[in-house]
Amino acid sequence: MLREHEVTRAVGVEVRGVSKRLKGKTVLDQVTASFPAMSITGLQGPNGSGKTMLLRAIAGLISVDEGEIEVCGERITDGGAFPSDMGFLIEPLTLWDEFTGLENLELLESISRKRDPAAPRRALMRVGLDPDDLRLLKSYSLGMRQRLSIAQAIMLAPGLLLLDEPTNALDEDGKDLIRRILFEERDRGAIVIVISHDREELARVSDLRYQMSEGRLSEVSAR
Amino acid sequence: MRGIRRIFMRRHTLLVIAIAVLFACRVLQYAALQRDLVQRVWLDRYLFCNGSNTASFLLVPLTVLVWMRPLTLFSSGLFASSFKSRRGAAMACAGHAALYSLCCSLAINVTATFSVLPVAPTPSDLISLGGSVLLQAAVLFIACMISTIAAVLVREPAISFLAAAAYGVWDFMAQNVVGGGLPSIGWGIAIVSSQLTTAELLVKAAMLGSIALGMIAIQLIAFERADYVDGGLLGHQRS
Repeated sequence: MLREHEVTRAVGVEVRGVSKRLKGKTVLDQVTASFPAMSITGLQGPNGSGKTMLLRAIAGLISVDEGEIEVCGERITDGGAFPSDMGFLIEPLTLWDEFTGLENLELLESISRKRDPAAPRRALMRVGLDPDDLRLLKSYSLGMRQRLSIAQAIMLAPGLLLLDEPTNALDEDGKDLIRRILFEERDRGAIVIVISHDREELARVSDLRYQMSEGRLSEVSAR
Repeated sequence: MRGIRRIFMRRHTLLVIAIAVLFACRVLQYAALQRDLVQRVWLDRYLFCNGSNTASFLLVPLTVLVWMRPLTLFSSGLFASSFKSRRGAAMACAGHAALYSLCCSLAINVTATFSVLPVAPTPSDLISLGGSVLLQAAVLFIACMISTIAAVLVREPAISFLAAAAYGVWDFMAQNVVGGGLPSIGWGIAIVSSQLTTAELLVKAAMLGSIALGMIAIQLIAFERADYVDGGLLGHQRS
């Protein structure tokens, strides 16, 4: 039986003929794909296949040599624009070791376009971190840093959520929590794009999956 | 703004070190001037504290050193993407650099004024001091812009710092090493004497203003062309 979000998939992100060369190497080669709204799209592929670069291109973090990208009808390949309502975890992330988790999120919230001063506390609790934890980031474990990075991405309830290996360094409980968050974000209406090297993990959470290889994209499966 | 203040001030070890070094320097300068038996005019004493030598090797490097932490934010994809476009991010970064440079110039000149006491400045000296504060702020702003451009394009903290420090040293080299063969493009222009006419002051302001505008233009291009393939100065290239 189809779930509601599967029958009402509107196009969220459209990538058309995108190519990018970096340091003489083609990292994206005529990539064309649709990433539906209210769904989780998984990107899989070997290291260096261009998954993270595609995510960066969608986020507007890299300029593309050809092609175009539209996020909810807004073309972001024109004039160095960024999607207006986006959260991302694309490593390595800018976080400051000499701040607490809450201070890091408050700083990033303060520079964002979509303001919500209560969001950092909420996001920390959502990923299982204590907002009143006074430890500085430098004393965080890898798993705690990962949770904080995810909190940063989901903090302001973005319409577009881009996550690169969100379950890295997490224990099984942490992975379960992140899966739950992914489903909640999708059901809230976000366009969620996830990269993972773990095919089983990706198959478990994704509504649609793409395979990347040498900068090229092919569809693997749709639920 | 509160968040941005936090990146400049909260648990910022380099800021504490910079303030300590600046005050130590002022105390030494004050002590040296107190021993000076020749009663020199205020401007001479001011130049002893804030001349090209001190600026090249202390004031500009310290200013840029403290700027390096906010630069970790300004050079990041997270900062850029919090604006509608790269242009918006570049202009916001320039705005923060301008405000920061003005604060640094005020700190540098207030402490210099204390250390030249007890020789009192004349009213015309005070006007010169006001001009110097603004022009020195422009020089510090240019240094911050240079480090920002290098950070956005090269993404290497050491190069970013050294590029700005090299700009700071330029005038010292021009005056003391090359022997006048190089034009002054920094602190040398920013010193205003009380004998200076308004027209000469305007020429100095126009020169530094042009360099500053040029740097803003280059910084805009740097932001437009940057590929955020790492976490800015905090991150490392991911293969």
